[in-house]
Amino acid sequence: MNLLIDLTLLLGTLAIALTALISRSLFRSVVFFILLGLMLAIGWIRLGAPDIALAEAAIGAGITGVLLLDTLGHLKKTGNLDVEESSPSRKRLVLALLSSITLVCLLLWAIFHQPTPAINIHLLVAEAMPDSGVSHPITAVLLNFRSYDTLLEVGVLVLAVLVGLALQTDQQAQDSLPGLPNPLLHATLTLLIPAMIITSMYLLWAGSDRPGGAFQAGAMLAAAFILLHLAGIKLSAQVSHRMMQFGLLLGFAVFLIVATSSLLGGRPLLAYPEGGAGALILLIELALTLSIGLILLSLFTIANSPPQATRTGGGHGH
Amino acid sequence: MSMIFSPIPWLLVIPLAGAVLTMLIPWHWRSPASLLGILTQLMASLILWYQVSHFGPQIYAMADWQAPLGIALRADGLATLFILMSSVIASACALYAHVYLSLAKRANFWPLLWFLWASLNGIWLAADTFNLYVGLELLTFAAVGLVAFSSDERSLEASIRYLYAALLGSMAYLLGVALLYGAQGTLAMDSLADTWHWGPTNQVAVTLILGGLLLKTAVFPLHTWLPPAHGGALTPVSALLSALVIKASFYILLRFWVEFGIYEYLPSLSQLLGALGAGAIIWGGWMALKQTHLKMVVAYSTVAQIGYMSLIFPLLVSDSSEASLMAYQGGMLMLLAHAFAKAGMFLAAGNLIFCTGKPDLQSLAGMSRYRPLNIFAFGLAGVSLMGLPPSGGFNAKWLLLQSSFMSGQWWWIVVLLIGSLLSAAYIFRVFAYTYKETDRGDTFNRPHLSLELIALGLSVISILWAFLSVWPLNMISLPGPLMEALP
Repeated sequence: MNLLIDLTLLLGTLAIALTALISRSLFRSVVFFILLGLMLAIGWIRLGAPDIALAEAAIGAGITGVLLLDTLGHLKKTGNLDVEESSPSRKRLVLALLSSITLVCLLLWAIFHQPTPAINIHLLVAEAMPDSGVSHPITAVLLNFRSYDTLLEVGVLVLAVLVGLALQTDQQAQDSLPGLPNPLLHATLTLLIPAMIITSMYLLWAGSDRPGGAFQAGAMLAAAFILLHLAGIKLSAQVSHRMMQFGLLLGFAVFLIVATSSLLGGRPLLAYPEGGAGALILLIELALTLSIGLILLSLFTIANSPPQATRTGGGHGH
Repeated sequence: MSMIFSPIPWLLVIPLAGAVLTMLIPWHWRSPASLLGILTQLMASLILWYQVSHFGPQIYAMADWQAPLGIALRADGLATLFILMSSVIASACALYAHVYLSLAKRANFWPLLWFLWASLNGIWLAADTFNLYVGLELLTFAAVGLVAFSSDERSLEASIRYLYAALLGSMAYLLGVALLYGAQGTLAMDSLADTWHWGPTNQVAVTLILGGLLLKTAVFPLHTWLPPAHGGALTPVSALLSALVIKASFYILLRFWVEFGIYEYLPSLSQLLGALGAGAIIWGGWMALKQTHLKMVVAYSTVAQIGYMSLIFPLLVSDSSEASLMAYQGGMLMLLAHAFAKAGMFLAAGNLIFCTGKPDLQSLAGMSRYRPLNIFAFGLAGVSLMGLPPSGGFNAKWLLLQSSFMSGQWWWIVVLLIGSLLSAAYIFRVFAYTYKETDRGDTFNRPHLSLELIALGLSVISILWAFLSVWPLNMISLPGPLMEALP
């Protein structure tokens, strides 16, 4: 039975990926790409990695899918959707196909010959778990053992928004806030949004002892924000730009402050004080959830808002 | 943990905090705050240099978890030299940008610069393969943002190309790291080296990592993204990219190559990397000779100079350990001299373009008479790039030549000579344009004196390495994981 499920999943994923690639219409490609994300998420669950499955579903399928759809809509509206260009030449297609088949063969060869690892890192993790402040090993790795990587990764997210904003100041983007005047949508939203926020908070809280955590919770929050945005309720207009900026940076700043405060206490960077790890991790994750939600929302709205609406500068005119 | 004060965390915290602060505070405070940050960075680098040269290499366990469970940072001689190099050059470029950019541009420049600086320091100090990936990602986004931010159409296109190339490289690198982790159960470089298992899995992993890093370093023939990105960016950004950013992936490549002993298993691949380097030297030099825009000449010269650095790979493989050591020293000195010379040359080129108001070589006529100081800065940097004595470039080429003689790989000598001739040709070609007479003397813009002085300062340092090269060579030869693994 399980084998049957796995085989179906495998073949289905392959078929969907191929359809997304060779489909003539870009819209179909995008839809199949989103579907591919969902299939991959199920695949991760079958592999026993629910954390990655959550992230894949939320970010790989959800946010990326929305971004792709939005780009598509934008291209259509501005008339830049060139059908000729969207289908690559036969020569390129063959080249891409050949190189990806080579890569797959190489990877298969590598994986079938994979030796037994000399170092059992999971034993080290298990041994250190009692001192980590949380009881879910993945959260312990992300926010304690390898917290330095996570700090830099959050930096990458902040940087992505920064680049978007820096580009936007000079770019003549049009305001295309959708604002669908659909009463049913608004009614659904009043039910959906609280549920999404509660789910987000649950994911955050659950992260300490089971799959979940700031990234998944943040993605869920971003989904709620984007839904609101699509319904015409503009979050960035409700709060001042200054507040928005603080919100974007809050997670990174809190993380950095906690990291540095350990230096002042004479400990190495990012080392939590004895007994304080659990509380500090929760504090960081709470701030990260809000910031990740806002960052993902901003990546979505930056392309859509007029240049004057979200300025990066502090108060000066142009 | 040693009890002495370690500057290592501050080399990361200050740039990261600088990035956050310069995003939040009002525009006119951003420059003073950044200047303060630059001072602390210089100081932290000097302290690290003092400590490493007196007490030996340092290991810093992040979050107090020892590798392989946690992430360790390593400051050996090579890393320390790179920290110092990037501090000096980034400071110079930052000062230049402070004068060169308008207030509005500067406001966005500072946080991007601070992220760039943090990622560079992170990469020089990293001792963990996945941490290196995160560092590369941070570096890529900061660099792409800096290219895009001159925001004319051409540079936007160049930055998108750059982004795609860099992301493809990162992806290949990450796949390779995942395979290594699967095969050996660790991400830490030291424990990877200790338990290195040269089977099919590691072969594929190394191939992927190598390919990704070569693409990111823009080694010929994977260099096509570089000239438009480096040539089209704003001047201080071009200098940062050519002097520092491409060095990051090269540095990682070298560490992998030596610390995991890849050269032992794949001697023929060493020759291939050398051949790519030779291709870069000749093709980059030839293309530089054909360009019509000043900054494109300088950008193609970077392609050629990466070629010289790649010669380190075949020359490391030698029966005599003296020849290998000389190849290592020559390659690193080449990298150091190029970093200063190229930063100086890009800044000088930017000044010339500012004077004439046009980016092409034709309009340089009259510049020798009008801006002799600036032409002098350009020329000094050129001397080092050509490898004429006395300059850091000359000493580096001399070491590489000696290493080729000693290891019997005479064919690289031919490449080195052709490369020198080509670089002499494209640099003198620029000079020839500046010596032409013109009657539009009154219409030139006058750059701020400090812009010219910064360019001159960097070029002078590239010459000074001729007399001071003992110091960096001793520095990189301090005991450390890379030195121990040298053949």
